[in-house]
Amino acid sequence: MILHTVNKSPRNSTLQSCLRVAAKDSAILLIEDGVYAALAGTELEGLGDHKVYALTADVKARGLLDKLSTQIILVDYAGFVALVEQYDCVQSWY
Amino acid sequence: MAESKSFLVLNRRPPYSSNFAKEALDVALMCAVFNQNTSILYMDDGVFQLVREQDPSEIQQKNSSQTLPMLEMYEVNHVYVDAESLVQRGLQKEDLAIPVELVDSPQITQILAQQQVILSF
Repeated sequence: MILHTVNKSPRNSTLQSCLRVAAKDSAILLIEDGVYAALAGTELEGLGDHKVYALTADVKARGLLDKLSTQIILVDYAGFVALVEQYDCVQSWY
Repeated sequence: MAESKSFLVLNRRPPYSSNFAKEALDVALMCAVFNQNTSILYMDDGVFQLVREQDPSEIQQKNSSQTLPMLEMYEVNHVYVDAESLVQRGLQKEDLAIPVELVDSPQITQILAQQQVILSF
């Protein structure tokens, strides 16, 4: 099982590429500008059946804490490390 | 005193992942300080610069949105926001840190046509 990290805004094709090839049992961790994909009520909300995590520090930085889709699971830096441990490998989309 | 020109600072990038947001704001304020007829326009991911309650302390950056009220203090004439970019991102005027003028595409076309200098970030 793979952990995919995405650090680009959803207006960039990076997230789309990730979603196109990510297996159903893989998880997606949104970091840096990637966290904009976690916004509720956007047309790009279709993050599929994946477990989707977002890094709290980047969410807070961008003022999005109360604007996230309910699907999103927040993790801190320690949680980031735990995810990296939990999955077999990490694919970084940047 | 040198003649005054119309300047538009055009913002299309989100904050924090690059310096564009900070630099654009500095340039807009600088233009205004030198009594230029200055406007600023936010579109595409640039609208994210305006979201209220940003707190980048945990990513070791300065909160650039705290400088936004300076636009009014320095008499930047217009703060425009592309309404379409806002809607596409699930945001409303109330989510923004400062008062803005919402504009549509034809209005942006007009705004661009009125400028003598456009600085794009």
